[in-house]
Amino acid sequence: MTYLNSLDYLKLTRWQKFIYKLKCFFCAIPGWFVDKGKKIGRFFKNFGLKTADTFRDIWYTFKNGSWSTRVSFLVMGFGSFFHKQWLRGAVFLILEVVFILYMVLAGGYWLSKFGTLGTVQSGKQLVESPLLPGEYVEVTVAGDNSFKILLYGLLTIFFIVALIYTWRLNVKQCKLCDEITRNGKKIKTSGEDIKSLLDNDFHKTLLALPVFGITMFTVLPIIFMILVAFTNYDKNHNGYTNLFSWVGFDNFNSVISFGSGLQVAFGEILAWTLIWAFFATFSCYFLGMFVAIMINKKGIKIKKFWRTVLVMTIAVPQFISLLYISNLFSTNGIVNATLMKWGWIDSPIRFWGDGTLAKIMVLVINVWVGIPYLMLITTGILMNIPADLYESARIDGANAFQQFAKITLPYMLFVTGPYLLTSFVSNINNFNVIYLLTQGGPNNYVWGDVGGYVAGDTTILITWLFGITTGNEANYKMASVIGILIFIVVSVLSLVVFSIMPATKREDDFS
Amino acid sequence: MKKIIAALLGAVMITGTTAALVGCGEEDEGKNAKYRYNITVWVGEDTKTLTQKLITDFNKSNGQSIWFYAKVNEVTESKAAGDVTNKPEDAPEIFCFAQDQIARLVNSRLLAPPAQSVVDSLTEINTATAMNAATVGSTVYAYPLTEDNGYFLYYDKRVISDEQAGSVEGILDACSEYESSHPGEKRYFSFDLKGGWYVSSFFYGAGAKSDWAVTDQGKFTTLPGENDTFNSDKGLIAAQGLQKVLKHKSYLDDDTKDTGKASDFNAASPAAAVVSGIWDYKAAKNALGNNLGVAKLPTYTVDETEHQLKSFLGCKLLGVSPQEGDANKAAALTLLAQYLTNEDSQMARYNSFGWGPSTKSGQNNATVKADVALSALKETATVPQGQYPADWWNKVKVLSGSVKDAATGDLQALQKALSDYADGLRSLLDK
Repeated sequence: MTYLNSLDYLKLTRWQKFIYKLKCFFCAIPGWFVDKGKKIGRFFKNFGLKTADTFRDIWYTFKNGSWSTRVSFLVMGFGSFFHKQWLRGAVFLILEVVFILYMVLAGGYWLSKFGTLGTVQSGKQLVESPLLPGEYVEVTVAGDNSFKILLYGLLTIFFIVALIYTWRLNVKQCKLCDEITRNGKKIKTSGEDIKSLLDNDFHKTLLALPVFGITMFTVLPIIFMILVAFTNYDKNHNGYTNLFSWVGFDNFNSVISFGSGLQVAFGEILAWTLIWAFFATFSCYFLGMFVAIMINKKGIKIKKFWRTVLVMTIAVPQFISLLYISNLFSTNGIVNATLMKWGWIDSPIRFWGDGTLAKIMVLVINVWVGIPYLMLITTGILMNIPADLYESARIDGANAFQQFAKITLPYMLFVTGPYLLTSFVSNINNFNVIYLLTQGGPNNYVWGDVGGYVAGDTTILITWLFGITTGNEANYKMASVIGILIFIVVSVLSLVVFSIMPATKREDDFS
Repeated sequence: MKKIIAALLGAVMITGTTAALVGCGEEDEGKNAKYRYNITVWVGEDTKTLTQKLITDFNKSNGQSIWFYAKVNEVTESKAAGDVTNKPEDAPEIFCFAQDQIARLVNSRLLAPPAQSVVDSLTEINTATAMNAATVGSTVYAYPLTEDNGYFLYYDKRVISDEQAGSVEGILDACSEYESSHPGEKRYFSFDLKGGWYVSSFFYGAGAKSDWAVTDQGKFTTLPGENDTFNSDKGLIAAQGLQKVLKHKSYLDDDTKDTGKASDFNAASPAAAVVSGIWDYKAAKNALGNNLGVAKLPTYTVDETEHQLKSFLGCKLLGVSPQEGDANKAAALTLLAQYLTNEDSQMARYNSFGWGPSTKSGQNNATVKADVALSALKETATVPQGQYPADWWNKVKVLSGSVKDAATGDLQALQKALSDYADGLRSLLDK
């Protein structure tokens, strides 16, 4: 399509401008994809080049290196010892020895079973015991344990990667030492190494523990959980008495394949999850801001009292107040009983019995729970908006709404943008409010029994996940799949929103 | 100053020595026993103290050859099996569970069958129903603990007459009558017809059934075929009866919490009748005092024919985890489990908590026979609860929900709910 210059564009009527913009938007889409594709291609190209470089470097190090360097290829740390870097040499050597011992004693076993997740089923044996003379007692004979194989196999792979990295480091070190001796310079001694760890390289000392901790307690479990999605780990395959095994993408297929009951339920639950997260976030946000503005308004008396009243909801633990509210509004609860006593209604209102009503109820109650937090956050920010902005706006004749739309809101969005995003994400996973109020009900019987759990109209993905893992089917594999899908949804949304958020874009021109 | 310090130090020393001596005072009574084991035992709520006492009695009774150092925890029977299945490696040596979980536990191979002599003695003292509950396929896998897992009717005599309590229609009418004579008040019939366990009463009441065959390994490999008649004319009658209750304005319909609890007698709009089991007797008595009526399950009428609701009669069971390699420990645990479920232990449980014994002698005991709650259960027509696939209960739950969602009297919709149920059974089979 032909793009117009500014003058031509200004000549267009309003309608034509709109059409023109729309055209531009759609024409830009292929370009956007091509651009992304190119970027991905470039990434892989660079990655390939870098890997090739690394191998070339290793080869040249071997070809041109001294004999001590060449020995280091096999005996890690030898080169460092040769150059009297005792500390580094010892660390390299110990790592290699520990690795070999580990692989021989345990790692080899875990790794060899990793491909199948265990083949030897635990068995039974009848044995005699003097306690029951003349009879046989059944005892078990241990077999493989899929759960452990998956966990320790993964750990072993981590260890191998770590060793390859260290080995590469060891080769690099030797190359460096070779170069330094060739140039007749002095090599760092162990004492200097230690000193630098406390001085120049202090960041490494500080980060060593956190990096180790994050790898072991965050990265490893996450990868483990992701791997579970590719197995058949459930009540029939607990990994201990009945082994589980790899099933590839079967679990994903059953969620995504069209026409399956699971797929319909998943689609609808996902839709409601997003609707819920959207309304829960923005209703609290705007109403909280509104309350804060009201309280901040000049002329409002006993401001502290109003704030305290609202903050009281925070003082009671959420799960108590939510359970309490859930009971208040139940069919035989106090709200219905009172309304009937007053004669306002003839038969009880089934607040939790009707899908739409239940959805509205959870949203409204969430507002009640959420407003105080927003009020506290926004009060501080509101007080920081320069009063002269409002003053000049008033002089220019702006009404209250215009002031809000043109001054307050942009300012708030700028400061609280990241907060909005995080609260949207946490609302997607807002287990408390939904589960404590409705347990995901009212049950939706049209879906039937999805994954070993009867889901309902207010069920969001996270309560569904809870239901199928704690239910009779102990459906860990599906829970893992749902977990991954939640992650994909959340990460895509976060990335998109984050990239268009004012807080990340106009850092300079907003003040 | 020095004196003060000296006095303080002295005091500290004396306290320390006393504490140490007290520590020594706990003499290890079992140190002479030949077989000594540390074990964990999971028992139902409130029964920890009694179980501990029974284990101590066992230790003393067996001539000092076996001694258990038991850590007793209270884990609800309905939850225990799930916890054991989820973390088989942390399973306690002995645990109590509800009967509906046995097939699942056997399928996961988490129950060690008792030795033959123990099976013989269990068969001798327990009723056939109880032994049936402890059997999967043709193998006895567990030790019957109670035989009282059924439900019957608790009602408020101020609202419902004894005669009205005999039928579902009578109960619902009584609630409506009460409401019209007391404007602004509401009385409910609380019956948890969201749960498969309770919903089945309508189907069994109409003569339909669902009997599943299970293998010795706890697997469900064949469809019940003609042994499942929920999808039949009888099933349709049951569905109509069920729908009548579900749609009645006096039926307590609450989607978010479980109904059918004695606590509903205390709700803001209280229940006038609750279908529940013996576990709720105390709570019901506390709520209503002398106005509490206890009766067998009511009847329901479809097409002018009366059908008697039938409760499942199930058992609580005690299971022993399989032991790896150690035959002596396995044998000792078998003996302990047998002791914990013998006639005297079951009577002790009846006396302390009112749990209905599964032993023949216990059931013939005069006090047990006179028990209000247990006799109501006894009078109720019951169906011995068989073994069901774990997710069957959910299928019945969905069936009941579809019956509720169908328009009143829309037989086609009810028929569709039944055939959907029948079609869904295939997914319950173990692969």
